[in-house]
Amino acid sequence: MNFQDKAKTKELSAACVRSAPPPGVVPLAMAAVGETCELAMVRGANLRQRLADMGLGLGSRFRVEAGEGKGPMVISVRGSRLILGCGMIHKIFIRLTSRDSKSGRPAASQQKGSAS
Amino acid sequence: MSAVATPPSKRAARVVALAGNPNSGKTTIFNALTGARQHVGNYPGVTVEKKEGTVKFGDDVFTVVDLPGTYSLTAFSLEEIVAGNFLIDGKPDAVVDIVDASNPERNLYLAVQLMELGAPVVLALNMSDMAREKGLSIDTKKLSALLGMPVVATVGHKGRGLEELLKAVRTICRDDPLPPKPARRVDYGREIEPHLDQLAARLAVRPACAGHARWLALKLLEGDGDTANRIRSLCPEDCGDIFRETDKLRKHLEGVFGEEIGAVLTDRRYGFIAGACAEVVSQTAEARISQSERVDRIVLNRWLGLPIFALLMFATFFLTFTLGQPLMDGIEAGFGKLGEAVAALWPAGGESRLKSLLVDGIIGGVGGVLVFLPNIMLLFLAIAFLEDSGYMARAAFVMDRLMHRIGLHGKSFIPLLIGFGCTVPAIMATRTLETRRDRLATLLVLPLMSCSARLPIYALLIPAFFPPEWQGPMLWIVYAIGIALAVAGVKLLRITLFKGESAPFVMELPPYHLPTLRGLLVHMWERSWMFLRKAGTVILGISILLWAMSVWPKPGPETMAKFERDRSAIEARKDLSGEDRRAALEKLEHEQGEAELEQSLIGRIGRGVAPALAPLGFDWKISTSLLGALAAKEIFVAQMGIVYSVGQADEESQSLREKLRENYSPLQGFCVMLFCLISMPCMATLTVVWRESGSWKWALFQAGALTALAYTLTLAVFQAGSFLGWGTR
Ligand SMILES: Nc1nc2c(ncn2[C@@H]2O[C@H](COP(=O)(O)OP(=O)(O)O)[C@@H](O)[C@H]2O)c(=O)[nH]1
Repeated sequence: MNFQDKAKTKELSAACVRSAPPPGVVPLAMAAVGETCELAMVRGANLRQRLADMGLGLGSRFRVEAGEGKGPMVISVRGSRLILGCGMIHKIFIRLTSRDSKSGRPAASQQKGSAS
Repeated sequence: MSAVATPPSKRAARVVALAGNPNSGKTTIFNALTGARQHVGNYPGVTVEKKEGTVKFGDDVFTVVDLPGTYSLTAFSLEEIVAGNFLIDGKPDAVVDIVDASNPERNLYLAVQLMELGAPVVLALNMSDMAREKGLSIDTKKLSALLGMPVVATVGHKGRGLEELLKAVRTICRDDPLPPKPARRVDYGREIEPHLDQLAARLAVRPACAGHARWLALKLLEGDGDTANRIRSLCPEDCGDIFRETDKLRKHLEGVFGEEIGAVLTDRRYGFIAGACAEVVSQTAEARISQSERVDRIVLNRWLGLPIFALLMFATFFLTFTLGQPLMDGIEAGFGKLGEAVAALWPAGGESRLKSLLVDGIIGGVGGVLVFLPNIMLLFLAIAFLEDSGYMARAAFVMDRLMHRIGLHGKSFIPLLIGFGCTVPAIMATRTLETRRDRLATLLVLPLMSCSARLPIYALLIPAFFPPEWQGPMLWIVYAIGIALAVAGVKLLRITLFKGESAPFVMELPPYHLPTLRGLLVHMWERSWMFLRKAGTVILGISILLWAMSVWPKPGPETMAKFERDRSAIEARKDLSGEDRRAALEKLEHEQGEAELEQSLIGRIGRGVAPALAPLGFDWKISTSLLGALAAKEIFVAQMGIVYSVGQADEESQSLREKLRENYSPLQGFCVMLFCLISMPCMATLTVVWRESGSWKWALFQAGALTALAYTLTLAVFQAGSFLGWGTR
């Protein structure tokens, strides 16, 4: 009957289970302009779907183009740029790709500062 | 696609829907296709505007519907919901998906969803010039085969490729029994595919769902409530087994993937697109830093962003007001002439009700409003320029930090800016905000952005009461008070009625474009038209009503007789020169006008409410004029003119200013401005808020809350000012 409600609860519980960031994963707010990151985790099912629709699914790589600290950010992903508002930069968690040891991807050349 | 083959001549025009991401050039193509043959209506049940136009191509007539921009069929904002529903339930005969070819990956996402839906799609690779500039070349034949849809390259603002586009649309509309099958479909992988097939098979046995069982199954897996409801209403038989199955599957798959299944499916689609792009898109030239990115290094710079933004806003308003002034004067003179010409139709000296209605009521009332048209159009032109060029998205970025502090996000800034022109189109512009909470919070404080209809009130009062060096700052102060109250209002709403976080603010940063003149004019016109419509309907009606209320009922026969006697007495006096006699007669006429107004309905109401407004420093004359301002703010000035019987009054009227100076203190003048700024928005605004919020309660709440706020604040200012002796005489 209440298919919708059940779906909501599920999404919520899925989000809660994953709410503690695993090691090596930091909030987007910690990234500096020019750094390349990989999307590791997003708090909130709605936001996650929204980002995925715009081409920013979990695991996608993007570059921080503008904005630092507490402000909004501009990132580039899949050949175009997105604004991520202030409210979101603490809900989006990333892995700096240079530290992504398991995939063995080369560190991004623009890398200029460490985030932690 | 309609299944029954009726001969083309007998068939109604085929419906073609234009879909696509925001900023893909949809509006440009829509305008190029339909030219002037378009009209604006509403989607049933919601107030999102439905832009429709017709296009003739050979013997065929197509009705083209411009859908709101959307990134996917998963809807977030009201506009996206409308677009999605039209594509799914409206069953258009053809869908033209307009894709920004310079950014194929993100734009193809919608195309892939449409392909899965099984809609009859034609893909328009728009901005193909930009793509070439970026060094991208796209193999349209291969792409067409991969997706199973015709692909046409277009350049919207040059009208290139539209002929081929229409040809493709015609072919797809001609009921080709078998549309080309996509060469490939999105493969969701070993874990998902078998389950998906199984669910689709269950759906396929139901005749109502058989057409697009796979798509329905996908939506069910995503947990899309709308689809579940759709299936429930389509299938006569019980569907409980399907939903139970879906629930089980979702639980299972979420266990496997450790995240919501919707996000997994989306990733797979992007994977499919990445694969397709690898095959059809080639980077012919070295990718270099685009012009846009270079500009953005400065415009989005942490330190320079805000000053640049402030400069642009200043330029916008400065241009609007300086360029607008001569045009305004012209229109004003035009209406004055018109009034005189109409008045001349009656014999001199003869008074007639009809003449008074036409000249004072209609021409005076509507003319007084249309005078602002140049200002409003110029402001909307500037806003259209900021939007079409792509700067508005940057402004949203720059403003996001500030807006976030008050509980809104950067996107809310755009309607607020439009609010300085006219609140009505500004309210329409809140539709892009994604949650109802954000929309309502923005809607409710919007009237505090001082719209251009309130400008004449300030323009009349400020020079009347303040020395020249204070006039400029005073105007800024009034505007600033509005902004400050709006900020405080949102904050308050956010901690009371609309608790909770605002919607995520994700927005694409479009590359800069040089806007086309035509696009600018169309965008400007759309918003100005809302204002004009208000002038033509609400304000016209109210002007007539107010006119009637200020004419009837007449004073009793004794009063009239007294004026007659006085008139004869003056005319009989021998000691007056012609000049003096005329002045005395004029004075008498003004007195009579005032007496008539006092007796009239509006005068009586004004007197009735005057005691309530007395603590704010308002007498019955101001109260009467404020009643007019309830209908439309700008009527206040005309009403003041009538109350002081100075004949034709406008905000430049020196004689009216004299009278005001004689009768009121600067403090009272300021209080009037403050009250007009804050109090109840005009009728047009209230009706739009009612429609847009879907409930008259919000409109009433807004009117009540703002009026209460206006009352309290003006009371405080007047009482404190009087006590401290500020601005009193
Ligand atoms: N270079 C280029 N610009 C285009 C093309 N089509 C539209 N534009 C411009 O792109 C901007 C956004 O277009 P618009 O139709 O408003 O986009 P919408 O948001 O999809 O309705 C406008 O400034 C257009 O002039 C095109 O094919 N090539």
